[in-house]
Amino acid sequence: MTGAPEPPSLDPILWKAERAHPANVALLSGLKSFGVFGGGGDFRWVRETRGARFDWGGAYGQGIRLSGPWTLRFEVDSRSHGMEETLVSLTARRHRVDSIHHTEVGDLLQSALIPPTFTGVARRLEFHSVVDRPLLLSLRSEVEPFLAPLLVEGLRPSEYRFDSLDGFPRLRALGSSLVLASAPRPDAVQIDGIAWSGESASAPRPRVSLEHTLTIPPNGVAATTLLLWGGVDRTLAAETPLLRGELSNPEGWARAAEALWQTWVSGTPELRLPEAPELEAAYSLARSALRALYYEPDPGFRGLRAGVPWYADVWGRDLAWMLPAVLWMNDADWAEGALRTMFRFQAPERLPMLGAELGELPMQVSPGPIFLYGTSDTTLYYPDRVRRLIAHTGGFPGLLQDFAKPLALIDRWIDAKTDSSSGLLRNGGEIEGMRAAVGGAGSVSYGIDAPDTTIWDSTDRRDHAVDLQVLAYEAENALAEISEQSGNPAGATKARARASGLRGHLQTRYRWAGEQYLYDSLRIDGSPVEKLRPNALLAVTAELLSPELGAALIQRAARPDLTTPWGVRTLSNLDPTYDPRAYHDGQVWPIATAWAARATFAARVPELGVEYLRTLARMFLAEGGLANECYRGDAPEPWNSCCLLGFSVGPFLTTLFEGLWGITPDLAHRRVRVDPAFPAGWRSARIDGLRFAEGILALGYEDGRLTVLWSGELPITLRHAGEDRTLPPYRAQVLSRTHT
Amino acid sequence: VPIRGWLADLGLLGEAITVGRRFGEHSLVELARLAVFVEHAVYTPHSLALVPGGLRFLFRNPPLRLGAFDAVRLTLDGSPVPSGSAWVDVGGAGKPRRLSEVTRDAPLELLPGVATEFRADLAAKLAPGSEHVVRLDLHSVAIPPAVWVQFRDRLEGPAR
Repeated sequence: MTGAPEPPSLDPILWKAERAHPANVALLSGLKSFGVFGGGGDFRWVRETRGARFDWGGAYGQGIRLSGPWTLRFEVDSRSHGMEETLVSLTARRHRVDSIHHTEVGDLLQSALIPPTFTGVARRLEFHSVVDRPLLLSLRSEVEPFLAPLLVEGLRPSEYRFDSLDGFPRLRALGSSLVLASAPRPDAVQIDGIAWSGESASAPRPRVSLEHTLTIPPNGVAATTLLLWGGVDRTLAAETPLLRGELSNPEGWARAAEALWQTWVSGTPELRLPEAPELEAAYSLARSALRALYYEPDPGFRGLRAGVPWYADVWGRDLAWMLPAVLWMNDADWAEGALRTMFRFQAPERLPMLGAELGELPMQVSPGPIFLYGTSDTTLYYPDRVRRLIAHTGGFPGLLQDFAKPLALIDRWIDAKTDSSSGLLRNGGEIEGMRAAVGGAGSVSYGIDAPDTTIWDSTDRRDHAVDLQVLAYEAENALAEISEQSGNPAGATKARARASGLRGHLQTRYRWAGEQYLYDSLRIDGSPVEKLRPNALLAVTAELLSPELGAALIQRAARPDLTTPWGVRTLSNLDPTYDPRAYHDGQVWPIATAWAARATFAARVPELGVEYLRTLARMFLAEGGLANECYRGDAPEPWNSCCLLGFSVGPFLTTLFEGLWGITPDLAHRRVRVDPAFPAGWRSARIDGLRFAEGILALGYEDGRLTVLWSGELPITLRHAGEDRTLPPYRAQVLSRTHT
Repeated sequence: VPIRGWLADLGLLGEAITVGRRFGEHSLVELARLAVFVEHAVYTPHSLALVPGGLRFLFRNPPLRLGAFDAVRLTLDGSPVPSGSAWVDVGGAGKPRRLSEVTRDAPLELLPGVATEFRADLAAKLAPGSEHVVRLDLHSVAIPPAVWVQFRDRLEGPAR
C-alpha cells in the first residue's frame, strides 16, 4: 500500500498536513463499510455530538458500528511512540489515507483503506530503518468492540462474547462480530491486558490488543498488515475463507480500492466553469462525496447512506434528495436499484408497531433488514424520483410495469393523508400511532415527544406544512405523467386535478401578504402559522407561483434574518422561537441554502443563485471534501452536525445541472431542454459526458452561444431559448443566443 | 392494564406475522433482536432499589439520544420528584449532581456505554417488593423535543 509510484489519479488528494490535527477527519468509504480516521494518525476522532464530545473513530459495516477507536503504539530502539506525536505527514484521499511517523532511527509509513473483499478497514504499516544496525520493532494495536446498530442512537451492548476465528480474536454481540486479524500473525494477543490463547469467554467492554515484534535489518524494512473486519454474522461467513490469502495481498487491495474510484469518477460528467473556478472545484469534491455515501451492505440492498458517521444507513427522505444527483452523475443503474430497495420495504398494509400506513415508504432501512416508518413526507418524494429516472433514461424494459404497484400504493397513501375538508396533506401524529401500538408491550418504553415528522422533524409544523403541499403537488404531477406513459388516462386526469387543487391552495391560502412570502403551515382550522422558513422556496422551484410572487419570495429569503454569509437558516432570527443552536429552529443547513439557490435560478436571478452556490462551494473547499450537516445560526461553526450529509451534497450537484445550466431531460419523448441561467458577464462554460438514454450530450457555452454535441444512436430534440432543434447523432450544432 | 397489554401483544403478533411473511424471516428476527436490545440496553433490570431516604436505579446507556441534556425530570408513579431531591452520577465518578443543577450552561452529558446512577430522596416510605413506574424526561441541548424513558419494576431491598 505504500512505496508505489503515484499514477495520475481521479481520486486526488483531499487534504494534507505536516503535523497532527486531531480535529481533522478522513473518511474511508466502501460499499459495505466505512472507516473514520482522525487527523492524529489513528482511527480516533472526537467530535461534538448533540452538545457532548464523543469519539467516532473506528470501523463501521453493514449498518453496525463495529468498533470504537482503534489505536496504535510502537516501540523501536527501546523508545515508545504514539502515532499522533510522531506524525509528520498525512495525506487523505477518498480511497486511502497515508501517514508518516518519524523517529530518530527511521520512519513508520502507514496506509489505511477499505479492503475491497472485506467488510471493515485495514492498515498497512512499514518501518523503514535509516540506521546501519538491526532494530527491534514492537507494534501494539488496540481496539474495543462496539457492535451496535446505527439505527438506534446512543446504545451499545453491555456484554461481549469472544472466541477464536482462525486463531484471531473474534468479539460478538447482537448477531454481529468483529475480528482483529493480521499478517503476519501476532506474537501476542491480550484481552483486557491478559494474555489470550483462543479460549471463549465474555466481558463487559473487552479491550483487545495485538502485538507484533519484528526484526528490521540494517537500513531495511519490516511490515505488517492489520485488518479490522466484521459485520452481520450470517453474511460474514462468506468472507471468512478469504482471511488467509487476502491478508497477504495489501498491494492488490490498494490497486482495487483506487480502481473502484477511478472507474466511477471517469463515468461522470465533467464541468468547466472558467468564471467560477470555485464551483468547478466544489463540483469535483461534491461528486466524490456523493460516491462516498454509496451503500450496498447486502446483495439486492442498494442505496446511499444518509450521512457519516451518524445517520449511516438508508433514510428514505435523504435518499430521495440524493437520487436526482445520482442520475446527474450518469448512474441510473444505481438510482434504479435504490428505488427498488425502497419499494421492497413499502408497507403492504398498516403496521402500527413500525409506524407504517398502507403504501408508506420507510423513514429508515438497515441491513437485517430492519425498517421503520413514521414520516409525513418520505413517501411523497418517490413518484417524482421514478419520473426522473424515466426522464433521464427513457425508461428500462419492464420499469413501468414493475413500479406500477408501488406507485398505486403511494397514490392510496396520499389519499389517506389528504384532509377531506381542506384538500391539503396533513402532518402530525406519526409517532403517536407507533407509541400507542407498542405501549402495552414490554416493561420499558421510550419516546420522543415529536408531534410531527416533516423534514424539520424536531419542531412542530402542524397541520399542513407548506413543503408537504409542494411535494404532494410534484408527486401528483409525476403520477399523472407516469399514468399517461402507462396508458392510464383516467389516472392521469385524477392526478392532474389534484395537482391543480394543490396549486390553487398554495397560491391563495398560503400567501403571507405581510412578509411577501408563504406561511410555513396552516392549522387544521385554516389559521396560518406565521413562521419564516426556507421551505416555502420549494414552491418557487416547482413553478407554483406567479413570477412576481416568486421573485418576492426570493428577495425576502435573501434578507439577513434568513440568509447568512454561511448559508440559510431553518428559521428567521426575528422569530421569537429562534435559537441559533436549535436543529430546526435556527441552525443553518446547506440543504436550505441549496433550496434557495435552486429557487433563485428558477426565478431567473442568476447572480444571486451563483452566490448561494458559492456559499456551498466554500464549505466543500474548506472541509476537505466533506460537507457538514448544519452550522450554528449565529456563527459559521458546525454544531451537532455529522461531518458528511447527503442532504448537503446531493441538492448542490442537482442545482448545478438543473438551476445553473437549466437542463431538463425528457427522454421518454426524446427531448432535452437547455436554458442556462448564467450571470451576466459569464463568457464560457462547458459540460462533457452527460448521459441520457443511450447517448452522451456535450454542451459548450461561448459568448452567449450554446454548442451541443449528441452521440446517441437516435436523434433527440433539444429545446433552447424557446426553439426546438433536432439533434442528429455525432454532429455539433451551434444554437441561438442564450437568454439568461 | 393486562387486557390492554394482551391486546397490544396480539396486535403486535399479527403485525409480526405480516412482517415475516412479506419481508422474510430475517427481518422478523432482526426486528425482534433490536426490540429486545433496546428494551434492555438502557434501564438495568432489577436495579430499582431502596437506599436510605429513597431509591436508586441504573442506566447502561442514554435513552435514544446521546449528548448533552439541559433539563432532566424524574417522575415516580406519575408524581414528579422535585429536581432538588434527585441526583445523577455519571460513569461511577462518585460525584452526584442534583437534577436542579443540570442547566444549559452545565448540561448532563450521557454517552453510549457509560453507566449512570439516578437517586431520589422521597418523603414517603416505599416497601421492598412493591412495583413502581419510573419515568425520566430529558431535554437535549441540540435537538428538541424531549426524549423520555419509562420502566416498571419491583423495588429491590436496600442497595449499598
